[in-house]
Amino acid sequence: MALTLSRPAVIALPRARRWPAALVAGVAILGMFAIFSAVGPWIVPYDVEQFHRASALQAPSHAFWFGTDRYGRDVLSRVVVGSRSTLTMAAAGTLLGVALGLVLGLGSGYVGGRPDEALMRVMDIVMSFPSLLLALLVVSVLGASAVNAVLSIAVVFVPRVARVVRSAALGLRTAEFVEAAQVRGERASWIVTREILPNLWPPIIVEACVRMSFAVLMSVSLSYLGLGAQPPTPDWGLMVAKERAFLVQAPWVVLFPAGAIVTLVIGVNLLGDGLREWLMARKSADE
Amino acid sequence: MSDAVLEVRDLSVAYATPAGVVHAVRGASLSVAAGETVALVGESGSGKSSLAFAVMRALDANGRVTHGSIRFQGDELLALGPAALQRVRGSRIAMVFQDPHTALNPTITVGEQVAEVLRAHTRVPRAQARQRALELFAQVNLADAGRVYARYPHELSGGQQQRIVIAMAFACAPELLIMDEPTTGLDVTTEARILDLIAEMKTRHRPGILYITHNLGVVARFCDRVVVMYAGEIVEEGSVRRVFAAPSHPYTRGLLACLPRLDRVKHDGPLAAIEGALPSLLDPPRACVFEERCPDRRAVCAQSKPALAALPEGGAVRCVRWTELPAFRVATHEDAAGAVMAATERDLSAAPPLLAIDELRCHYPVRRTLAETLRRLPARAVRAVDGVSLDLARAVTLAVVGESGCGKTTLGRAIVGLLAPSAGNVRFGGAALAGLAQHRARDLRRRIQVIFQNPEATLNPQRTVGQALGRPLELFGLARGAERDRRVRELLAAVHLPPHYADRYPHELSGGEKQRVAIARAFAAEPEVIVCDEPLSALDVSVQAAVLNLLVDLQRRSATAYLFISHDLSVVRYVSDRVAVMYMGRLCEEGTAHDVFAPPYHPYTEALLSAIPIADPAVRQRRVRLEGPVPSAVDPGPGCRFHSRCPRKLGAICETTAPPARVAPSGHRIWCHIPLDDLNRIPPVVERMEVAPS
Repeated sequence: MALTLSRPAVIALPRARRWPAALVAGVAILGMFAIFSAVGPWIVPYDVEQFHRASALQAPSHAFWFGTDRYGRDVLSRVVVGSRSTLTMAAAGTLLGVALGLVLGLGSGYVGGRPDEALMRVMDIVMSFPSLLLALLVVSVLGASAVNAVLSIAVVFVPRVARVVRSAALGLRTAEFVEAAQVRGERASWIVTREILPNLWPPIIVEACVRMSFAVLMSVSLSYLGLGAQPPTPDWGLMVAKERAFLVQAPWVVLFPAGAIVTLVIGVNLLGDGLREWLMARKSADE
Repeated sequence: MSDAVLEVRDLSVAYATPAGVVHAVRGASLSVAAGETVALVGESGSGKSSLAFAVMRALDANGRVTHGSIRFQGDELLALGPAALQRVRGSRIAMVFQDPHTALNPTITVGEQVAEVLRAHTRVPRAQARQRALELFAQVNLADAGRVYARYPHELSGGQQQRIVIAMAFACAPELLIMDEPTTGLDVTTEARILDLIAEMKTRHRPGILYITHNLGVVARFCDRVVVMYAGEIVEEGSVRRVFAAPSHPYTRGLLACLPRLDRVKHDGPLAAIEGALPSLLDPPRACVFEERCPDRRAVCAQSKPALAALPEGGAVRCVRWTELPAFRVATHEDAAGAVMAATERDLSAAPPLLAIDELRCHYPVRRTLAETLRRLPARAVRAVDGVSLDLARAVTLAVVGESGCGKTTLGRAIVGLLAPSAGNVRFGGAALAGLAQHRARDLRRRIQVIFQNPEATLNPQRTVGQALGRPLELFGLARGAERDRRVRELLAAVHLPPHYADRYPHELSGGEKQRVAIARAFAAEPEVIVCDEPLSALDVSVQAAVLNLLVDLQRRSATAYLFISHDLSVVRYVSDRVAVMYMGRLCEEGTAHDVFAPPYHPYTEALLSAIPIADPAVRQRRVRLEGPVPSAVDPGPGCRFHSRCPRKLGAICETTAPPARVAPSGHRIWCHIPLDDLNRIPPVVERMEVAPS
């Protein structure tokens, strides 16, 4: 006698989701900070430089949602406006690092052989320095400023991005469509930019998101050490550094900027994970 | 059928995918009796593997058996819990997969792996398990079983690995054996030996075998019954003799008719391809699944799903019109005007060569080990191509045949300029060709094009079909702007694709369509020579026939010469005018297709012809089997490359002296120490048995 599984098959089968939750959450968090950094000064309740001497180190209240610091400045306003400095430094550092790493990795992967070997060994040497140490080295040579902090982040990122791009490019170099282009006699520049590069965007985008979360941490670290954003710019790293003496007495002066850092890092990581999941789902749907 | 080992009733399998629910198998019923070998035949997407995985209860995580029953020796497999299933799998039901590489654990010696299976299922003591494993190794004809026992999988060849997997499958004397394309990744001569082995093990142990394959030739060789699947449904079932002689379902008839055969060549007319594509399994047709592509369809076919009708001579067919179809007959060479063909062959061989390959050598240095470097030993080289001379004339197809590692692909790559030869030269239209494509003049690059094997990798996923076809037109200055777009549409029409495909991306195309685009891209440059590197081997048989017809048709219209690299002798027989057989970087034999496929043979060609699976039970092949694996192409020694495996080896001369070319009056060349007269006396390998009509 035949056994019939009476389970309604179509409903029992799990359906693949189109939009990963991580992607949605990541975009929401990053979008919020992007809006803050774009229009922050116009939406905050107080000017970031305005001293309210009478209400210094006041706990969160109806008037000051995140409390005030030692000069009586509104912490909420400073956190919101401060997102601009962190986000700009991190994004600029990431973009610069990814762009340079992309060019080096792509060239190295396509050319191959000895030049590739030599370049990758140099990258290994750069990578053997701990990230923050290398960034400190660069900033202390060039001088403390936001621009130099961006440069130092880029220097740290270049070898890491180059490795990822190179390995992806190496895989594509022997793909049949690339060989077909070689048989046609296409120039190397055409093959690299038209045949290989368009297929590299998914891993590059995911890598850029991963880098971005490190960039946020590095930029606030540099600012904290006084090597990034300079006072009186409202900056999360600077805020934590300058107000840390009041941590016990008035914890909000440190906790809110620190919380903003954590939220942003989590947001960028979620975005990276979500993008990876989404790109993979799209790829398998195509197949 | 009470004696059935396996009884599948009304089985349906579905998969959840992002695009929706794929109904991979629908209402399939089949049974396997003890000692019987049942072939489950179908193309990709037919659901044959899903059915097998359902029987093993090993469907992917997103797959479910939605309906039906699978009984093994009367017990319902779908009702078994994990522990009970574990006891059945591996001991009473065993499985052999396509890729022996992934079936074996790379970190354990192969002997231990087989002994482990025995210990897990039979609780025999360690020493006895080892003894039994050694016996099995001897049964699967592994020479020197004791030494093989202690080897790791990577130390063995593909054929040896598959023997181990087969030994493992037979270890616990299973009642049912499921084999999923067990010889697909192997070379033909290895495949032939593995099939012999399975047949031998079958008579010894008499398990029921469910043999899943797309290769009808393998089915004809050693199965008892055939079940044909199409788009998730069983369309025909019956004895091998009946199905091959008198197929009843139009799909089965189409499959048998579209196969290239040794008794049919391109001058006899096109192959009977099955037009169209598999219906979507997201929403399978309510009526006959094959209706869309059926050459014999009528209005009634689109109305309701035909039931599986029993045939008078046994078996069943799912077609309403099977009684009305004419008697099945495959067109053969004898049907066509043979005289016309012979004349064409003569004309072509007289033409001056377009491409002249002279003593071409491609050696790759092998990286020296530290010890070798310190001892200042010279660097050794893999001699992928080692002194090959061939001529290719206009409008001629020269097939280069051989097994993996013989250097045929390297030869093709050297000609198109993907790698530089180490010595020798290639002349094209009288002018010497530079090694790499980038050093060749633009016009020379245009005149030599290439078609690759893998349709999935041959097109850039980020560029539309129109961009892919337009690029060579622009690059070679053939057409621009509106004229280019017009040419793209013409090219699409030439490969039988509609013009709106120009805007599609490769992932929107099927494998066969991608290969058509690749062919159009090669022809866009208006070349004189196209190197076709296994252009059909990744395609399903029904698609293969259409692409093959297309290549022949385009050649006839454009007078392009093909260098056709292939391992499939049936395809080569159909498509080629001249054939070169390669073994370990050297030529064994070269001549017109007619000469190469008939005596005198090179002993290697003889073995190849004996090994090809022919989808016709009425054809008999004399049994010639090669022992041992293909030896290393590093330092092959001064003698004949084939001497270590040659069944007709003369003696020491074969090892010490390179064989001379024996040239027949027709220009047919055979490189062998055996004199031509003796080679002439070798009887034909393939013969058609005259069977009395039953």
